[in-house]
Amino acid sequence: MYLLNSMSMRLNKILLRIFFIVTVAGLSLASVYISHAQGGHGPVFTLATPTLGQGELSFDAMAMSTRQGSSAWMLRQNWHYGLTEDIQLNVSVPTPLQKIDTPPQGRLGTMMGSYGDLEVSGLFRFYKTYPDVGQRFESSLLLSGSVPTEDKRAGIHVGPSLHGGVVTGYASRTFYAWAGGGYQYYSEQHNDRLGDIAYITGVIGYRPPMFQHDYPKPDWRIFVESVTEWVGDNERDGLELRNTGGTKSLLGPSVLGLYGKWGLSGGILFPVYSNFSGTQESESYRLNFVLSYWF
Amino acid sequence: MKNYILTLIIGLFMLPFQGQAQLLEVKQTVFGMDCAPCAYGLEKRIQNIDGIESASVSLNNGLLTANLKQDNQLTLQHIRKAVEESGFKAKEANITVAGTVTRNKTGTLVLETGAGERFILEAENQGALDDISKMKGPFTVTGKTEKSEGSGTKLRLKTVDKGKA
Repeated sequence: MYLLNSMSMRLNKILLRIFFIVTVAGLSLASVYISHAQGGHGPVFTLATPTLGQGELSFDAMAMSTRQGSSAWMLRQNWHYGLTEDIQLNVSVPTPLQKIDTPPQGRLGTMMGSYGDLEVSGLFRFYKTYPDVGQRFESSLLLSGSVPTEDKRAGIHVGPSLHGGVVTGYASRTFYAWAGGGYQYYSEQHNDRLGDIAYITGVIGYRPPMFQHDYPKPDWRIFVESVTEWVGDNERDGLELRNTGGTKSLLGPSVLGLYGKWGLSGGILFPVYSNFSGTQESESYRLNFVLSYWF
Repeated sequence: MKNYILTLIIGLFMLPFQGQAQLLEVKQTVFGMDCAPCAYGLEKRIQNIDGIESASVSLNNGLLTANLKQDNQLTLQHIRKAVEESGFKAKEANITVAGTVTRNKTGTLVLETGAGERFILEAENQGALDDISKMKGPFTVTGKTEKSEGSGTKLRLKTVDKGKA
């Protein structure tokens, strides 16, 4: 009974936070009223290929949470601009709401910076082909640079980082599939260095016939997303730290709803495999809600 | 004398409209468009083009429908370029276009719009082309066009009306 009450209280807390975050995100969106079009219309956690049309602008307000021992919450504001129909520029700004001492090392959403990093990136769609109405095969390259918004993370001085990723896949009115991978290199800071992150992602999506109404009616789709990360050991004073680094795989569902110039998506990943060095707290989940607007 | 002056005045009023025949409607097939924001972005881009009366997009049919203003100076190439700038592929289009028909050096019939866009006319029935070549003045035609070449865009005729729409 005590366990049930405790779980119910925790659920209430989580729902209250989600409500708060979505409200804040909505208010921040309402304060922006420039008006013109298309960006984050793919999966929530994994790499995807789509780029905005030339001259188009979009904004995502993102609420993210992860739990490793205790829960961390943050907001992210992501701006996307289509320089050409194949080159998209992105800025991702984190706003921590509830920090934890030892956040999980990884790119929480692969299309944006790691926990606490401000990231500027370019997504280059270098291959595209259009077999039929509503169908695209395409491949994109994501290059980014990040600066940390905090001095230390898990007791380690955090330096700027560079990231490169590549993704390829298929989009249609019914099925979606993307697979990709990347590498994030952290530079040394005060003789400390966070472990680099190598990762692969995969996602499949489906839009059921009942949601295949024509534009401008609402458009819903579901995804199954997976992320596997290999994280290097952290270094302090030039020495590799034990009990850091390791491998983990996460898997979970997400959903994306689109209505005209608005998008709402959410998803959760759970660990399905982990192999950490030494003794470490494992990550319990990754949670993400995104509200998108195309100007 | 009065009649001459009247004819001259009417002629002068008509002068600006000569050669102003133009693209009137475009039903453009679009490949690669899969989501609502894609459709929203394309629709908005087309609606913002000067000379467009209205535009709508069907995601399920991959179809952009644009109705153009009477005095527009738009070309089909302009609309196709806007589709490509949105990140998609412009395939065949069914169009309604008004223009003057002439025969080029190789004997092919060419319809030219007021914006200077040239359509090389083709028809399943050669007789239809012969009929056009015997008539004079502006025509309004509907037809299907696929891709542009150096000398113009091939337009396979469906209907032909004498005069402007």
